[in-house]
Amino acid sequence: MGKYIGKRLFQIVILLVIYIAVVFFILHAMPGGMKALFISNPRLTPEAQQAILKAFGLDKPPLTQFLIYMRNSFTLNFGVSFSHYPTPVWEIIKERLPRTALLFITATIISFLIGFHSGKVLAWKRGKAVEYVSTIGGVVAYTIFTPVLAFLLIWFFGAYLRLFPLNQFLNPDLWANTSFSSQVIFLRLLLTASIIGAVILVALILSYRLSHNIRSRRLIFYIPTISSVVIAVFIWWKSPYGIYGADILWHMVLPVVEVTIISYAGIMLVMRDSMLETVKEDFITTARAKGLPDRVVRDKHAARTALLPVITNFIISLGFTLSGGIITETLFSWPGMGLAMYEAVISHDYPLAAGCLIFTGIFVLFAHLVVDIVYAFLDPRIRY
Amino acid sequence: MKKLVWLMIAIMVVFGVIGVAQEKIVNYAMYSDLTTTNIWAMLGPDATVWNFYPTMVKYGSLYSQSDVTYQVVPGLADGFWSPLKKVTEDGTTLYVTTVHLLKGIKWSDGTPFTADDVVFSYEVPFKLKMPGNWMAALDPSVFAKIEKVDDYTVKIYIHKPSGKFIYGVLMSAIVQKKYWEPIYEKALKQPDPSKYLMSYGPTIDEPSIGSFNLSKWEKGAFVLSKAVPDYVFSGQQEIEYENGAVRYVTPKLSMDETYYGKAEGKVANKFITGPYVDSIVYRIYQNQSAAVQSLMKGTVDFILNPNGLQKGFADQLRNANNVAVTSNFALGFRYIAFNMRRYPMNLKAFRVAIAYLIDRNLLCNKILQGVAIPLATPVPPGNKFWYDSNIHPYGEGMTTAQRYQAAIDVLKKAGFTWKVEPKIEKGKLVQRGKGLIAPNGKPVETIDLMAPSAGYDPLRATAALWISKWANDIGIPISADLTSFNNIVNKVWSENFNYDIYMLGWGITIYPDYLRDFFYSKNAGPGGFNTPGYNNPAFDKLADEFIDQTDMNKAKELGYKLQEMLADEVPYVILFTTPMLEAYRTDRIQFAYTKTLDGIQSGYAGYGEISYVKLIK
Repeated sequence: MGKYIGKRLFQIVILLVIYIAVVFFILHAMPGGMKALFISNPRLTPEAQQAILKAFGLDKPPLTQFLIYMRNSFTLNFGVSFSHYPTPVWEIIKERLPRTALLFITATIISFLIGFHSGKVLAWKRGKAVEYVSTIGGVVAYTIFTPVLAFLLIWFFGAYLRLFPLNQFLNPDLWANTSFSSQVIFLRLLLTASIIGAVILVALILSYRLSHNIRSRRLIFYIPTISSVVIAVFIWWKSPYGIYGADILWHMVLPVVEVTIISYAGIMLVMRDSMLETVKEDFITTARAKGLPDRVVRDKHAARTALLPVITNFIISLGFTLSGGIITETLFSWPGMGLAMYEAVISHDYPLAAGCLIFTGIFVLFAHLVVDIVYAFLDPRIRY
Repeated sequence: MKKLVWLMIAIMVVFGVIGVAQEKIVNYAMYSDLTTTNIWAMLGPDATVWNFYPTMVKYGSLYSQSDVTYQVVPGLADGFWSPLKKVTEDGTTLYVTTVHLLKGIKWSDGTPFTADDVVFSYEVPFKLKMPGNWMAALDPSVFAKIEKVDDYTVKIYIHKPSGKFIYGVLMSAIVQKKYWEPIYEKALKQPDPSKYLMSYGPTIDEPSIGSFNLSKWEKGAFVLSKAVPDYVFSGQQEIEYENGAVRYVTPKLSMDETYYGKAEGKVANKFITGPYVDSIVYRIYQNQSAAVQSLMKGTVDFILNPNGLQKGFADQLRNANNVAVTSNFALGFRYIAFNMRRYPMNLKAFRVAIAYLIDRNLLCNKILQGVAIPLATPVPPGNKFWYDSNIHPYGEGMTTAQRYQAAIDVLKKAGFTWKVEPKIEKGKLVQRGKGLIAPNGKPVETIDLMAPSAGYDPLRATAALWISKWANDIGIPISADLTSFNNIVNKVWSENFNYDIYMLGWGITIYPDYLRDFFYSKNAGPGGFNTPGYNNPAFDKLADEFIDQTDMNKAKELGYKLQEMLADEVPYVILFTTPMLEAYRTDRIQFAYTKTLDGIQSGYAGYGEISYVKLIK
């Protein structure tokens, strides 16, 4: 397994080098070349221009420039943003990334859970009214024009029912007198989510390793999972940051619902199709012939096998979440990576645009690696 | 499910209680985040209205303009400047004036405001040649130097009397020396001190001399501005009389001054300076729709937007409860400019023919359905003092057929011919013109009319298509090229006037020094404002007289003459302006006035009447 991961890691690094090379050559192919693009901002002081020239080796031969650019990309030195001068690009990415990560990873995970379970049930209830209704509903959700859905949600839940905030990622009235920035809360929320996620993963693995009894497996899984959630909620509740975390989560509801509605249907339809193929397999017939309960055949035998393409879909989309959704971020006034990239493009902020592009690429490639590893775990037919 | 509902109710109650516990807070919506809070950058390369909205209230100037009537009045100065005296220094003739400063004014950190602040604020940008608004205000052709006489008196030296002396030099921004001096000294040790100063930050802690000061900037979310305690002008009465007099009663300074006549007769306006609220929160929305919904919901009380509301949103808000929509003249105009460096745009007859063809009334009132206001001069009618109402554009009151005929006649008279001449019979165009031949005997090739695409500005895109249609009807081969805004700007400025005709818009100032800037022959070089390349020595002479005139009534007469000359020569065809539509919550806030040039959001109204806005609920 280690050798397989190492081999894939090596391939991913090669791909990353090629990807960065493509970005480098695109920048060089622009009018004026990279030198003009990176120091063309009239606000750069001569000192800053010299610093950029030196950092990117822009006064050196192209090959040296390429090697320096490669090194800079791996050390996250993307230069200085023009539109946010004199802020380094990495600082902007660092500021925007937690916002996008929290929103889109949450939405993607919820989409996956809803899509996976509904796809599984739909395939099992083939031919019934619920399948037709859900499939048509899913297709509508999958193909709906994103701004329309966002406006509908904002109008209905925000303006008409007044249940949720209309926009933005926090309530300024609440944050007016804080001595910390929202970044602190975003990072703590992400940390909390990561710890709970890790606990769930460990609990899941342990439940399968330690017991074959369904009831005890459930106990092993649910006790640490629920405990971690309760402890996290308790710590947040007692913490002075608790109300601010709740505020951000409160503002996340509508954008998460929007992204979930648009994303879940794709996963549901893939899962449904995959399940429909799987249930035709001989081992499902064998499982049924053995007299196993319907639910066990569905969940343990069919769904697990059908999961593979859905996992690919899920993890790759997780990688792309870090580029954010320009439409979602714009309509819900959630300034994350998507908006950063959009603003960079329209304001000709080349260093920021290139930085966002490379950063997204790194994550998508990393997601590919994760897919390969997860595949290797889930599908015994894959040999390494 | 029940638990979930209870949980949600509990959260809503918590947020409700938080809301009740707040102080007097007014919420304004903005569509863009700030890029800086640094005054040197803000009045330099980062001069965006979004930066100005929450920030500019922090700074003062020696003189400013009265509300609504826009008369020049003392700001931080004590009375008007002394008459200019001619002096000679080292063989150079200069003019000097003495300005006394108000005593008893303090910065928000408690530091007294003195002549040191004024001298520092003038010398630093002038010595470092700060770009943008700094050099526009402290124009080296006008401003020479400043000297401290004592703690509350300064002497300002200028090269020549000029309108720019009043509207530029005397209105330049004043910063606190105590805060900026150490940074400036460090800047002087850098290779480019000016850029060092402009990139210095964060400056949230910079003291304010205005009614509010920045308190917090949560990037991407909001900017919080807090009222300055013991603001010295708080409670000041500004009383404007119908006879033109303006009286200021300032209790905290024990002052009662009247300018421009006697304080007698009917009072036209009376304002009492606040602040009346504890804080103003500038909520940042990334789209207009969300801000409009937030206004309807009551989350925000007023929307700041330099372009005003789109008609659809304004219509929607007119039907909303407790929301008032106001309409004011915008301080700007849209126009087409001819490249007079190229043939046949350099021929007056050709430009006049195009001017005849453009039916502003039809365009604005019928085609654009009233969303634009026809305009014939660069000074919009809202700018009452400077607007020349006697400007009559070519074709005024004519029907479309009469316009065609007038354009054909002008072209014929100038020697233009057609392969197929357009014909008008019984008030109708019965034959379209084809193959226009210029007086030099050569066919007129396709003339490109660049205009912003409909996605950027549907008004200009529509206008461009109609202008090309009218021109094509009589055989003038104009082709509307709807392109990106940046492309037009690049072609005009970066590519050194690489265009035939373009359509853009200008945001302008009340003092119309742009009448000179946009058409002065010396500004026709690369990157200059005189994009048509208009070169008329008589105009230049008049423009110089206008800009050098410090008596504003005389300057007005000269300004009228300039407007008339431009309407006759048509280097620009001024098309229209748009009403500035704005909306605010009538159940939450109250402004001192809503009828004002360029709307409540304008700098002339204090970027949302920050010092006047009251919370009524």
